Amino acid sequence: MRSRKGSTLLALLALLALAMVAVGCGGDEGDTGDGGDTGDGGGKVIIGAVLGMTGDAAPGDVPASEAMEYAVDEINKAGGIDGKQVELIIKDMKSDPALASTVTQELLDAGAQVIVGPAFPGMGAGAVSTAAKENVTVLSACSTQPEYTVVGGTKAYLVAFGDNVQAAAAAEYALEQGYKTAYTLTSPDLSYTERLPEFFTAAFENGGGKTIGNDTFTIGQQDFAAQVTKIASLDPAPDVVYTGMFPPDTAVFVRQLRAAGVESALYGADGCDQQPLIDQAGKDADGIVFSTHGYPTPGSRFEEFVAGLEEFQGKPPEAPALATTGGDVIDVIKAAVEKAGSTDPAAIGDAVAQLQDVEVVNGTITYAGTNGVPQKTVAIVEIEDGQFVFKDQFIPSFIPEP
Amino acid sequence: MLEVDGLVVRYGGIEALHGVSLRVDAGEIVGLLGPNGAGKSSTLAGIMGLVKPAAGHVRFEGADIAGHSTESIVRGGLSLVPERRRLFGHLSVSDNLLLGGAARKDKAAAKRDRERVMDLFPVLRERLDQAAGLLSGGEAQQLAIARALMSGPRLLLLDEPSLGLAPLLVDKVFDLVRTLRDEGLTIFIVEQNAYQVLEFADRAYILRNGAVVDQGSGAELLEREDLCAQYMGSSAPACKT
Amino acid sequence: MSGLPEQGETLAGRGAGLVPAAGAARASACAAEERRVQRRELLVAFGGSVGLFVIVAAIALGYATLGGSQRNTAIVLLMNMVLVIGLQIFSGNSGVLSLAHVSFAGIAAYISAILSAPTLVKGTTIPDAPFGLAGVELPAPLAMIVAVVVTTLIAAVIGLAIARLSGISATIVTLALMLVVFAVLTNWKSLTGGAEAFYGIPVTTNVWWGLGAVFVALVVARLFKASRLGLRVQSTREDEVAASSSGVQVVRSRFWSWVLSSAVCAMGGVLIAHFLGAISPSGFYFTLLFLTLAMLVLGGEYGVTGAVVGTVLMTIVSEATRYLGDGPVVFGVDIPPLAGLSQLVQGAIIIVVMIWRPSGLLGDRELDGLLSRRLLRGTRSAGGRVAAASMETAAADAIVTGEAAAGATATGEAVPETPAATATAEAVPETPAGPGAAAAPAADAAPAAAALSVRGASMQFAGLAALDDASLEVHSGQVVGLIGPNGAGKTTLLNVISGLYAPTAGEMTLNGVSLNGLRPYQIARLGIARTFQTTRLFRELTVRQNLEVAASVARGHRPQAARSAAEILSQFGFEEIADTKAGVLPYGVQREVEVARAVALGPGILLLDEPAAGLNDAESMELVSAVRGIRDREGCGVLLIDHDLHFVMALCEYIYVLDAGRIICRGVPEEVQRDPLVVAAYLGTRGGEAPATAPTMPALGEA
Repeated sequence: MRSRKGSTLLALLALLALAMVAVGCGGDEGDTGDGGDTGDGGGKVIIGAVLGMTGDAAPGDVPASEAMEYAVDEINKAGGIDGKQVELIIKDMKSDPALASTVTQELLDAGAQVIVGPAFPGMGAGAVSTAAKENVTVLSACSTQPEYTVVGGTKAYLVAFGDNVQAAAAAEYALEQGYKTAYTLTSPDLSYTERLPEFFTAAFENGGGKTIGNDTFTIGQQDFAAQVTKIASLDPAPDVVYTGMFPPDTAVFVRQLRAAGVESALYGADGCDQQPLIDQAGKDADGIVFSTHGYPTPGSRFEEFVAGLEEFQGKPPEAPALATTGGDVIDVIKAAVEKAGSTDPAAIGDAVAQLQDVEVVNGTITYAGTNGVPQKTVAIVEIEDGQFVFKDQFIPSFIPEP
Repeated sequence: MLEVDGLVVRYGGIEALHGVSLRVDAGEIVGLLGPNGAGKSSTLAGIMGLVKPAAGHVRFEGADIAGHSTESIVRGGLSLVPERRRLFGHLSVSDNLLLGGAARKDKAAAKRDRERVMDLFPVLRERLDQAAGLLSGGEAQQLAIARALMSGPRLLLLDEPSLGLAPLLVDKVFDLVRTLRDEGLTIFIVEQNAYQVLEFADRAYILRNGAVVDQGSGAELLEREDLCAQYMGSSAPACKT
Repeated sequence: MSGLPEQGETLAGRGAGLVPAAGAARASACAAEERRVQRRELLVAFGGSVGLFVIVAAIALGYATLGGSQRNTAIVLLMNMVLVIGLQIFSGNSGVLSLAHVSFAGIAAYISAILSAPTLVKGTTIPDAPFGLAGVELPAPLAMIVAVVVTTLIAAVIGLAIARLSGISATIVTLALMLVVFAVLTNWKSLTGGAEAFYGIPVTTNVWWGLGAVFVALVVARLFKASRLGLRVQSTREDEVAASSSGVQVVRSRFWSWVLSSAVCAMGGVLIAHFLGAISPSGFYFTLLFLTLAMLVLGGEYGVTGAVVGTVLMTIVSEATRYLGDGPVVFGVDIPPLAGLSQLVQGAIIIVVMIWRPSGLLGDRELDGLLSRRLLRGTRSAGGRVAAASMETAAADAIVTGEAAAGATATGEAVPETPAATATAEAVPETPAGPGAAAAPAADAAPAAAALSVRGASMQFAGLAALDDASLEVHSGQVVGLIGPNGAGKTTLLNVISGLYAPTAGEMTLNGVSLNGLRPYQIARLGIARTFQTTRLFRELTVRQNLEVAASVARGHRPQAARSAAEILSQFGFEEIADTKAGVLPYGVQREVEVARAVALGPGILLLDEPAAGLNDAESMELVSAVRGIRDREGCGVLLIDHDLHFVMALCEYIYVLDAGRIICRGVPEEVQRDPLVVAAYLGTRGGEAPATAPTMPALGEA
């Protein structure tokens, strides 16, 4: 019995190895038909998106991917880029850094001339280094982490603002409110939650303010009593508390903060741009101010885009702000291809680096003179009476080094 | 009340019981005696469904119970006081009693029985909240019996209740067994301590090497010469005294 | 004391006059033979690992030639395989599930990354690195070696603690270890860059590096498993108590498998670092843990081939479902994208495997085993394929032929009642086939003066006195019985002697050497072997391996008494079942194997716990001759517990009776049978008689 099982297993193994080969061969052409060649020619613009459709990056990449599909659809309906139809190939890298190179290579093999990378630099590094071997440029739709531009050994581009930019915008807005003292909350669990307060402090103090204290928290900790107590004991209370916390933590935290009688303003970042924050924090959400990518002011492109996306999907987008970054990246690519006048990857890359004041869903974007973290407007939103209310949109005047 | 017919019990490759037949009539105290390794505990295990009999019948009040689950057998009216007691050591005396009655549907009756066992064993009432593992040998045996009584059985099986007890306590336990029978319970008791059991048992079976080798009334068996030889080896001189 | 043989005047003592040099020659011949056997086994294991490697290389290289992305997949496959093999070395052999191996991969990855990243990059990422590391830049291969070495040292220190734990508590500690390492990597920002990606690592890993690492891992894993140390670790997995009672140092053997395992995992970690170019602590955390665990579980953790197969299969499934999940066009059919298909299928596979084949697809079968079974099917003896039914008769015959020749008592003869009959068991024992076998019985094996002495042993268990001032003696060549009613404390006494319990009072010596405070493995190494009431065999190991565990201990610690596993196999007639797993044998045969294993330890004292349990009259009488045969051949003293008093009276020259923890009677069988106290202990007392109290026993040694 055993020996029969043994030989069955060997046969099974051989069969499966064969299957793998078949899959491996199939993987090249299966999804794009005549995929074709990279390089100058071809009558198509092929955008490859290596995204975390599952895993840690999904909350950012999934909305962005849906928006990208919509944006590409709109472009194609309007005749394409320079008359060329756009093909968008989206592949899931499962938020696994080891898979990023493999999937990127598959996209390159399918003819991608430009790559959209996943939402975090750690998992995007492989994409960047692999694409670099064929001179293909990588942009990340929703990442706000400046290190994305260097992590893969070659220059890659953020399409959202860098965390240094949005923190600086929040600091500038806080200073405008007359705030002089600040207290920050950091978490080492993500570089996002770790560095935002650092950037904020740099910008805040540059503008004459003072950070009087800092505390740490763990993402997902259910109870912030320890942190709240420390803040409540400060006398005088800080004008503003700044953190990179995002819901549900923000909701839990603000409720405990207000219950302890602390009235300091609470400022956050784009992670707060979600309806669940209002749903979970209730009345205590009022007064929270955060920086985000954009806002559907009446008549704005943002509003138009989100409406169109809703119609395209058949349901309202779950994370509109993150979705719009998907629209942004398509706009940037379109602008770059038009500027380069060709679909040659190297040319596209050069073009991106020189883009200036390009109109995107979330305002304007400039890459010229930057290291990959664009100059881009930051929107400031406040929660009033349980509603998101637009406050301002600007490029901060002082941006700390990332 | 209980009929065992040709019971065969196997553990893996070893046959522990080679077709044991016995019966217990209502209101009797019946003993199952024999040297160690004879298969006495296996007999109880087979009756209670702890081991699925390989062959044979077990009938309780006319109904076949061989092969049924132990829980259903307990609900059917049998209860076992296991060898070495097997109390829930970390749980309190009270909880042990509670668990003894866990299978009962009639909770009111269970409550009445709880009072009754605590009347029978006053020391338990004193130690209700104590962890069962801390009880002395005699108290533990009482708790084990009480726990078995909590399921409201009509037939009580005891597996070596005298094990590990001082002689005085052994007497107490056997007195208790007699009291229980007087109150209407039928008793099937396994013991190595043959002589004492034979003095109050109505009938007894002698088991050896997995088969019944002798049976009779308590008085008859006490007079048997070879009883001792069965235990000690064929011509053990001591038996001849 | 009538009936008690004087020292030296034992049956085996007849051969005591033989020149000890013969024993030494035999011992060294035996050791040489065993070295040969071991060398062959290691060679086979090496061959198996090479064979496995060739298959893996074929798969990996073959797939890699298909394109760039496939090459990546192949490299990832190889890196995962290294980790899974590393995990198998510890968890598969020791049976202790470790969740920490990803941490060692992570530590090594970071060390190598930090040492090899360009100083320019480090100036941005970790400018304040301690120990001036920001200014250090080593070539990648050197950094990798340093990383593996340092990680292994760290693992060794941790292993000193973890090796002491078993079962679930060990696993929980390894989980805690993984959390701690993650926390350290995340929070020691100045050194590691924190939660963000540490980038700039030179990318050097290619298929060749991967293959090289897999080759090393495979060879190390297979050789370890086939080695004596590996066998001992596996015995601790099967039954820790039996292992230490066979002389295995459980903690130490586990420790070495832990260290080896972490070294291999470290190797995997550095490969990963130099493949990704950028690493974060989260990359060596739950995701990687579940993936590698799933691969090992799928293939079968007991064997290296299983580790390989599991990795390959899981990778294939992963790739296939990823391909499908991306919404490809297959044969013209547009399959809709289904994100998460891959994870779903992987999870389902694990659940199915766990329910249907908990020991994995391959169990513990190794490649060479699979192949050799097929190739040698014709020539090889029955091995594992004999039906259980015929096994019983074969084994029964084996006992008869093996031992009846040693003891002249023909089977079926009525057993004499008096111990005088032991004189008949004087036939010359069979000489074991084997090189350099001396013609003499193994009298030279055990020192003729082996004497176990227990004085005043008491054992208290939370208020219950399981033993109360019990004393006994066993000499070489003596068969001593220990009887008593249920619950008397007989097994407790045996456990005290073999070191499983520490007595609350009393002294035990073997040949004057004190046994008090010694651990079971130390007592086994001194020459006290035992069997257990419920057999404690190493069920997943073969009969040969069961014997070899004890035999190897004997070779190491009792070389004069040591014999090879092969000798013991033939002595007991186990050749047919030598390569059968102990766990599938019929119960009766298992009990014999357990006795054989105890004998393989070359003991001076053999403790048998209820050897006649479950045997009928005829079988017990066969056992009488068998035990006598062992006593004659080994020259050891035997102390046995049993309830079958016919058996005990027939076999034992001297008997102790235990009741309620006390020795109430001792003497030759007739004396014991005469003693009314003994009857009372077993049968109780008749009504009206006051229970007799045990008279104070004269101390041992007095008349």
